[in-house]
Amino acid sequence: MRSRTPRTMLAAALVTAVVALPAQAKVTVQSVVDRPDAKHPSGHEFEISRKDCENAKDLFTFDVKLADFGSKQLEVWLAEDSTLDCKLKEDRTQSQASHCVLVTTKAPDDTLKVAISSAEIAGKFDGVSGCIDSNSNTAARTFSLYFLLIDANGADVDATDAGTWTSKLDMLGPGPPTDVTAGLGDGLLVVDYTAPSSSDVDGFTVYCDPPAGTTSATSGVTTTGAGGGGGGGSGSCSSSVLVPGKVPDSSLVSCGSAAKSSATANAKGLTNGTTYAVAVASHDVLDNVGALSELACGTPAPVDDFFQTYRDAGGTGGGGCSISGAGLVGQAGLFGLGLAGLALAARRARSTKR
Amino acid sequence: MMERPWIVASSIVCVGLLAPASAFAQGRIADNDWRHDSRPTDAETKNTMFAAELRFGPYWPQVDDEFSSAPGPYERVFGTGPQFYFGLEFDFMPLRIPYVGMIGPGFGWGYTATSAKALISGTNTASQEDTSLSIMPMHLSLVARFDELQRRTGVPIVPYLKFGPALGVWNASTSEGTSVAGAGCTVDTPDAAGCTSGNGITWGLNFAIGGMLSLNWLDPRSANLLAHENDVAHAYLFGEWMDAVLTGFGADAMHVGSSTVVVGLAADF
Repeated sequence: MRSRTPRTMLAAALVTAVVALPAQAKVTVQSVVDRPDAKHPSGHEFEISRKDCENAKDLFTFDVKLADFGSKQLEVWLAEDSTLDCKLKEDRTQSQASHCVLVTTKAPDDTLKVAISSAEIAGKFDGVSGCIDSNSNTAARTFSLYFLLIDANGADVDATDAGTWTSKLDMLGPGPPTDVTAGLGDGLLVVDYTAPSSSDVDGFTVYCDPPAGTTSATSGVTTTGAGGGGGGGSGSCSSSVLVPGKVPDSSLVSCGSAAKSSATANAKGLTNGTTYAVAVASHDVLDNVGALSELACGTPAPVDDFFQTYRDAGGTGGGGCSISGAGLVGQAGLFGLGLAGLALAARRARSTKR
Repeated sequence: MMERPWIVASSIVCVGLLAPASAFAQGRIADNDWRHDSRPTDAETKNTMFAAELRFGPYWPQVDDEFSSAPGPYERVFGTGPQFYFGLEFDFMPLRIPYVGMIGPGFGWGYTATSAKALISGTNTASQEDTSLSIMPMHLSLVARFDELQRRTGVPIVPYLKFGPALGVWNASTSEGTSVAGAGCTVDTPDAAGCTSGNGITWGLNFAIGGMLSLNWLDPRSANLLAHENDVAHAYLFGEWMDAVLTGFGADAMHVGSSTVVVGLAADF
């Protein structure tokens, strides 16, 4: 193939640049700059959870720069459906089954700070009222905010008169775990469960009644069957605080937690001899807590682990060094690496000598 | 006593493999093919001074040997079955004794752990709370590998001995962390008065005797290639009776050693 001359290539590049150059934008949405109370993990910083919605101080502040706005005004519209285009008058028409929703209106200026609370955004979603999402699908809902310069007639808006910003709303925790049992431990209950099939599970939280650290049931735990007599929770129990199928009140303090890969969590800080009702709820990456599982009940009792049994039998070992089980495994890895390095160094030394 | 059948079985296997291997080695002497990659004696005559081992086997911690009555605490909690043990060893043997073999220090490290449900106090009934014991046995031994038989005759057997000081780093734990024993003690109060944390180091001795079966005869061409390219003279399958006497020499210490048979793969280079 014959190569182009540098002059030909330069001309081609210039033509391409001119063709691709966009028209001057009149609406520029800079970024979200002020969200002091939200601490979501990386990749989810600008998503809205139920706690965000309930926090009046949770504000999205957008720096919006406008140009050539004339008599138009700035309107912010929300599109929950990705097929909607709020620049089109048709998609902003209320008579449509699915349509954009007006969030706020601002008098235009060259530079504006548009502050919108999480609650304002959430309240525009279908099925959301008072930060309660009544939808059955617990997955996050993607939405777009359109910042539009609109004339008095509300006609279609040119792309140059529009800026968009996209994020997600997720106020529902994953479904509850099933097959919950509470096994006896020393000052704790070992809670086993089957994780729900929801794809957005990020961990599990255990709730106790009475709460950890107290010895009297705040709500009056009632038990029947084996669970009430002490030991593991094969009996049944009820609690007016922990209601299966209901999202736990935000004032409830958890008594245990587990990572998303775990099927066991310890309910800790309990008192031996006191009967507890326990329930497990899943939570997602935004810390939305889902509905409570069925209850299990159990009564912690003193337990002798191997070392206590050893000492009780008269064993004299112990108290030696502070290497934990995890440390042992870590040292195993380090030793393996060290050994491999030593062998390699030795072999290289031999090779060099030869 | 459990390890004796293992030794007998290992011996039978070794002898069984020795006969054809020996014949094969003799057969190769008449081979006139002296191309670079197929010289039969390259690996056998290579001067090696390093050895590395990857080892596996059952491990019965001798915790209950401290107690006169049975069942001891280990058997009560973990039963009588063995733990799974794996380990690594690296030997440096710079001293070669003619017609005998090579001698030098070797350092071995191993890891073994077991877990079970803790017992409800005052009973033999299991709770749902996990309890575990992990042990990291190590030794620094004098190692003698008698490889002159292999070097001079091609018989692919290398007996060896190991003897030296050893220690076992151990840790007893629950799902909440390192165990703590004593009235009113919890995992959060290991340093409180009257509390003893469930970890320690137990010193002792390590003794081992074993035999290595060279695998070079399975594929002499590849073995020679390995020797030329990577300096690895032999790959071995080995069996060993290991006696880790980790009793603390009479001091207050948990007996975490074991007398057992291990097998594994080794290489010298």
